[in-house]
Amino acid sequence: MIRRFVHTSAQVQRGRTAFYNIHQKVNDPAKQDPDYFEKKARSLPLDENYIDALSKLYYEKIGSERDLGLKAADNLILEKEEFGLPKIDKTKLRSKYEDLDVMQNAPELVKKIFSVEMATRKELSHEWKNSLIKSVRQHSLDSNSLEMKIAWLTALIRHWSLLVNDMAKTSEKKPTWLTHRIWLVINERRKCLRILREQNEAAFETTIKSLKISYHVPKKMTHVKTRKAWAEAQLKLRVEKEKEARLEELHEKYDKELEEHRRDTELKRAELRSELENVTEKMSKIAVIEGKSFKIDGKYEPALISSLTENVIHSNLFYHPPPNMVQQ
Amino acid sequence: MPKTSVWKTRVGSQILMGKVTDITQIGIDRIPCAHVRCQMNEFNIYLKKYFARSFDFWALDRNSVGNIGDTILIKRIEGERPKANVSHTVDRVVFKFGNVVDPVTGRKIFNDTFADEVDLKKLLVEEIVDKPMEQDSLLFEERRALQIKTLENEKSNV
Repeated sequence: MIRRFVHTSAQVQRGRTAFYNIHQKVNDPAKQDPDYFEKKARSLPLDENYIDALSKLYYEKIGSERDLGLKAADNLILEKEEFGLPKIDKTKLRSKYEDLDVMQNAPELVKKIFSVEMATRKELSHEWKNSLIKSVRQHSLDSNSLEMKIAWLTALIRHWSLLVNDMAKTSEKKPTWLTHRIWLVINERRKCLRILREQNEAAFETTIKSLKISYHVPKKMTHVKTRKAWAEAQLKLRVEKEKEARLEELHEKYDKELEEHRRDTELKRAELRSELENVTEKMSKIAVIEGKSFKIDGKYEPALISSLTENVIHSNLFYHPPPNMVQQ
Repeated sequence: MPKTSVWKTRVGSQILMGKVTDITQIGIDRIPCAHVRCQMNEFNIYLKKYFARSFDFWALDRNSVGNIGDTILIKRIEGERPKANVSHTVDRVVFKFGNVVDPVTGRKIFNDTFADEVDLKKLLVEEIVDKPMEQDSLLFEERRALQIKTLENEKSNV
């Protein structure tokens, strides 16, 4: 019984559980598309390496989930400078000192001291937040609407991401105390976005458009999240796609052949018809020679004028037209 | 008495209300078909209590009136079904997604406040707070005084 819990060798366990490097750095902005890996799976060549390529893709998908979760919604992959934060005029007074009457006529040097240029990081982040909030809030006293909250959280996420980027320049260590907080804020924002979308779709649209956030409706879980299940699902979809493509090809071929066949038969029929006409003409000529029928030139017309005069006389005499012997 | 302790409700599935969770197209004609999640009750005889349980139905949506998230009314198809698992047709949309309306007053709601109240607040803030602040020729204290004055005016008007 005890032996079950004693591991004498690490070799035994090797390869028994899948290893995912969940800290993979994502360098391709195309991966920000939530369906990127599914689309890629759809375009893999169907050869003997297909299943292996699928599992490789799955490891890549799981590995980049973390980095994408932190950066994809704000399009921060490959971002080095701006981090989606608004550009702020350096010469502008900080919002703290904006409304002071004293600053109106202050000398340039004083103004410079109180401008954004000389601001601390905290004050700068305040400016960023203000600028983003101003673009979406309902009115100037709005401090608790969802739009305002989303803008505030967005500024926070982007500012902290910038901070993480700056820290990475000086030290190897990842500031997990900060990245973890970014996670929390991202999830909070996702919740706010979800509620806003449920409550007011128009406001939601304008908010994500002006803040440049990409929001994707989370999909229903359709299968267990494992490599095998994912690969199977992708294979199934791929096979379906391939089948559809082949059927489409066959259908087009059939249409083409049908058209050709129709054209050919039409030509043949026209030929036969002309032949038949020739034969009947010949037959009628023979019949005329044999005296069985006559060759009629022109068309029979009844005597129109005489019958008309007759009509007039009859109507004068009897008040009605004469009996017509010509069958009409 | 049935052997199970869980009784289904006596409510039939002739007419049901539910939320659209998915939309696909069926057949060669590509008729839109909605996957609707309807909540029905189940009675547990031991606990003497109803439990809500969701069931999914496929409903034919010929005019494609329903979108994902909409609350819709579905009716059972009498006669022949277009497909074995498509049992209902979409009758009408009861609540549109992202457009919450109070059923009693018929007013639109944004996050627990009426839309017209939000609009009124927006208007008042613009008039009382923003407009006096925009006057650059005045000093801050003067602008504040103007704000207070307009506020008093508005109050007396009410």
